[in-house]
Amino acid sequence: MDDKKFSWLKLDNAAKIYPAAKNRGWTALFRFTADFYREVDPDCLKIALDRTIKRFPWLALRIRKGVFWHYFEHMDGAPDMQSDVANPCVRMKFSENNHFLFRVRYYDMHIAVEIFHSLTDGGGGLSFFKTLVAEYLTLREGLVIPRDDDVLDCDDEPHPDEYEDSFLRLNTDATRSSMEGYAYRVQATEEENDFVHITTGTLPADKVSLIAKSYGVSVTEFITALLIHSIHKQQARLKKRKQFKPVKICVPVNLRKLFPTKTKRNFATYVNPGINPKYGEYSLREICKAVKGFMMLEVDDKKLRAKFSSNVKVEKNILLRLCPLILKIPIMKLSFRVLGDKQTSSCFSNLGLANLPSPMAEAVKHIDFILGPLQLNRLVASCLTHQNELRIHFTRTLKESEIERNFFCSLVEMGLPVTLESNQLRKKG
Amino acid sequence: MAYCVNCGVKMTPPEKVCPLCGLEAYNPREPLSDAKSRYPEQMERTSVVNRRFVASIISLLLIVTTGICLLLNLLLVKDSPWSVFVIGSLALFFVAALLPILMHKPHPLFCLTLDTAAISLFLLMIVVFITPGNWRWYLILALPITIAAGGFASLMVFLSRFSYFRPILRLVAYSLMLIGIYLLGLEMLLHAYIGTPWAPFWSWIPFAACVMTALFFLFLNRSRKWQEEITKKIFI
Repeated sequence: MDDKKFSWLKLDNAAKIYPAAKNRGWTALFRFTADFYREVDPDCLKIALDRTIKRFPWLALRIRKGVFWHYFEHMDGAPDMQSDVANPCVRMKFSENNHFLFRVRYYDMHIAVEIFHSLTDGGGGLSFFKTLVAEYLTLREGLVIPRDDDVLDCDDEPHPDEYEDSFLRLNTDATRSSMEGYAYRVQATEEENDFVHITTGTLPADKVSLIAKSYGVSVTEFITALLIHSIHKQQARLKKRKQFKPVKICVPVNLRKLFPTKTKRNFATYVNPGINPKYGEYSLREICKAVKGFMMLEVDDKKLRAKFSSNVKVEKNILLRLCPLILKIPIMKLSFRVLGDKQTSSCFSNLGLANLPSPMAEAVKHIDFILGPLQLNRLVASCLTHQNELRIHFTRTLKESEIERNFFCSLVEMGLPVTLESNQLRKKG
Repeated sequence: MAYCVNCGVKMTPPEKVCPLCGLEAYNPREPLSDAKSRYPEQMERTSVVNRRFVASIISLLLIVTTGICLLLNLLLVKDSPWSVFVIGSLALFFVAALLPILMHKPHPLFCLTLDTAAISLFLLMIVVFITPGNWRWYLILALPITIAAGGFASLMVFLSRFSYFRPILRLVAYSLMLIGIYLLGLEMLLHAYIGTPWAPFWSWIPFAACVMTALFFLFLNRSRKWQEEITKKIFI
């Protein structure tokens, strides 16, 4: 292809761990879906995908093994489109996907894109998805959709700034350890038959915002606090106080909002707000206060820069760089297993407002962001707001729905109308 | 739309039961809707190998091999009881490698006890068929070494259940100390078998190495700074 500016790319700092950590049953994935008012036309979608992928060449990649590191190799074309399935975000076998690291699926009136986390994060993925949907709606509905830095114009050339490794450019000498103690793990029976439960709760965004304000916190902080509260309810039921462990939630932070960058590749880090219930009983208001205080201290450009800089420093270590990949992979796999998810009880990612341009917003009924289950924490939550609809998705590969029930029932008790949908009807056996 | 009377949430058609509590959704004014689900019926299956199935097949092959060897030994090559060793080895392999896969949630202590018993029986078989009547090496050397190894491994598995031994560094440190003690004991048994008085010689070297490494791990377990430094170096 003529418009690509590279034939291969190094993995960015955040991307390096995922190829090593993935296994036969798990790949770090996240998913976007858009529901329309008409049935999806696969031909239009195919043309839209072909146009969009040329604007996002840093997604048309396959992963290869070098002597010392994995690297991305550019591929022409786009992945074959697939019919959607009942169990989204189930592991991705790259060889079954023409070696592409993302897949495009459709069913009835929605299209979905599932992306391997090494390629990009939620922010970069949303930009790709919105551009794909804009292209599709232009073809299918004849809409004229204004383009900006988020919904890109597919007639423009890709710019190197859009696929730079911002971790490398913006890191400093000051470093900060991200080591923490282990957190409580949700207790439930593992689902056996590859089924991934998705439970979606739809709430009026303005009312959620008002409730959050009444607790003196933002919507993200409120949902995080409520999730901590819901998980701790289970711990309090199952354990004695002296056995209590901290309940912490991994909350990704989009660094694009804090640093000057145009990158669409990974550029996010995380913070882990939580409580230690060993100190005593926490009410929801107290948890909100703890989460807010933590976020105020931690979501700070200098601290976050120091945090990702320590990872970059490790990556730059000459001894580590000289270590052959064949040795690096088991070490990284083991490190991820021992340290990866154990510091938090779950993960909650809020991408905020979908911010679709005007004619596109009306043509899209729902737009969803769903996190795939983590390797150890098999229950995670995510949300995205569109047209005053805040849709919270719980993804779990656990049989019991205790945590979601605690969560949504608390919202109902606060007087918020919760509308639920799930994929449970599709579960067999 | 129906509400769940238990959870108070509204359910989008075609939900038939509450996704939170499993209670049936029923609205007498609105019979259950036939609306199409957002999710298709088709499930994606991961091609993860069914380990129990593979273990069953291998077990079956072992039984066939055992039968063939036994028949050959009884009917054709009758000069020595060679098939006993083939059958013993296969049985040992079955107990150590296949049985834990075939069992539903095997208890590690139970598996270790079985392994120890299987190895002891295998060694007993050697005494009976190769050196009949020579029980000394079995009773003084082979059996105590096997039981001690199984016992020490079981002890570590048992201790790892206590929260004190949860930190991996502490568990590794105590395991190393046990290995050191085991080696001292091994030399003692060798002396007893040869008939010389027990004076530890070579076993001091691995014992000292194990203890030093164990102390280093215990120090590392206490020192958060060093731990972080090392973890940082090995992470990515």
